[in-house]
Amino acid sequence: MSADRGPGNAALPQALIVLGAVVAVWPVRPSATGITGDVVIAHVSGMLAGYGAVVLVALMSRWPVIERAVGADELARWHARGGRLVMALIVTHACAAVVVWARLRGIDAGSALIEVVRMPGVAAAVVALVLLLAVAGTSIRRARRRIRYETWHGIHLVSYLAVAAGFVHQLAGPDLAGHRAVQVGWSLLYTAAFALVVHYRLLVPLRTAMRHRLRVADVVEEGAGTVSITVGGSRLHELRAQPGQYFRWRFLTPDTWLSAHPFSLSAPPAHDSFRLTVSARGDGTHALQSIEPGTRVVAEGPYGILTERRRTRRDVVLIAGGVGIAPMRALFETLAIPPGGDVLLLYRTADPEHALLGDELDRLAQRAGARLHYLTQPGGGELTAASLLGRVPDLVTRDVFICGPPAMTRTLMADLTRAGLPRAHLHAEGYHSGSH
Amino acid sequence: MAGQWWQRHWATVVLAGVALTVGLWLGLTAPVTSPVNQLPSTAPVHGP
Repeated sequence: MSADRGPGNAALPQALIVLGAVVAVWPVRPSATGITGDVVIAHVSGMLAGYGAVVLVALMSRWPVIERAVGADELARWHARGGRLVMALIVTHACAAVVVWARLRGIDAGSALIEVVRMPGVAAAVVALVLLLAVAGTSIRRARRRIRYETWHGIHLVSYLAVAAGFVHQLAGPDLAGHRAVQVGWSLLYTAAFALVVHYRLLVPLRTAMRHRLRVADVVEEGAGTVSITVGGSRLHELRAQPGQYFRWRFLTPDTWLSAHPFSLSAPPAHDSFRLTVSARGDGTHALQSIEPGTRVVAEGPYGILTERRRTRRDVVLIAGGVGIAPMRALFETLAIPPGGDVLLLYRTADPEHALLGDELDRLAQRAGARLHYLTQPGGGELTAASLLGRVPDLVTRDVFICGPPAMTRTLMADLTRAGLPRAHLHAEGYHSGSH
Repeated sequence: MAGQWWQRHWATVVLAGVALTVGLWLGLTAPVTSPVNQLPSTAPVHGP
């Protein structure tokens, strides 16, 4: 939980993943003797699919090294793109394997399918394929809109079972069988990835829950469909949470215990409490509007790169959209303002009169050197580099922190970079509506 | 000091040990041959 590193360092994990993919296909070296294109496709797609699946598991393990290097929303994008790629590779591998077997054995596809399924571990791999297709089906945007986030999340957890089931046939496959060192290395890769998942998604949250004894201490209504929840606990300083960071919160009630939601701290962390602000955007967040004080809480984290440690300049602009105001509000209170310095919070909201946390922000803006501007929609709410430069002419000499809906965040980041803001001065995280 | 470290990290050490043991066991007991390699025309030449 020490130094923060931003998405700018994602190049190293990307390079390592690509390098790993090259190593993963290393065992496949088709000779010139009868190796045809379809055989190569079957082998290479199989090895890459096996490697891609274990990379996806590791990326989703919540390992802080990865979370800090890549950033949570970038990781979610990698997961979505990587998931589609791995599914395509698995389906390609399965089809190519049956086609090749049929051709080489001189039998029809149906008979080939039966023979292939009877090979060691392949029946489990077929079950894995069916499970992964079901997961992929529920992840398609259109299908996701029809099902509750909690249901989708529960189905998604089946992926771990599917990856484990698919692993069995990989060791018995033609590229690994008989090559003991490669089989041991491949097995250790899988057990290490699953150990990361167990450690960071199970053991660490359990240890945090037991040591810090987190419980809901207070719930305050902030406006229509939004509450601030204060979570009390002991020895919270040990977690080294900083303003601008977030935790993944799991509230242990019958309705909400199954899924963990990422919510930023909406106030600076205290020694015995954290505060988060939750807008009702889905079933899970809706249930949290009426959470009872005393409810046990499990928290994973802290995560996030929007902290003072990222600051490089004297003057700062904070840009918030929607519930992205939560981490910005915590930063707005705590960012140091040197003499002559300026910290400006630009808050895009539909209605400044009823802006989320508006009273607190107005009070914090009275601090010397702190300013608050509301960008109302439509019209003044336009967020482009040109409109921001109109308000803040020295924008490119400042640090800029952004938190808002992913589309707003991405577009604005690209626009500001084009306008000349150095990437090192730009610190951004998106939040995901509905679930997050 | 060592006692404190062990108290905080014993679960991690046990998990790493389990992962290592299971990984080694899976790799060392994996099949030696594949039916695919018994077809001469599909036999790949393995790299290092």
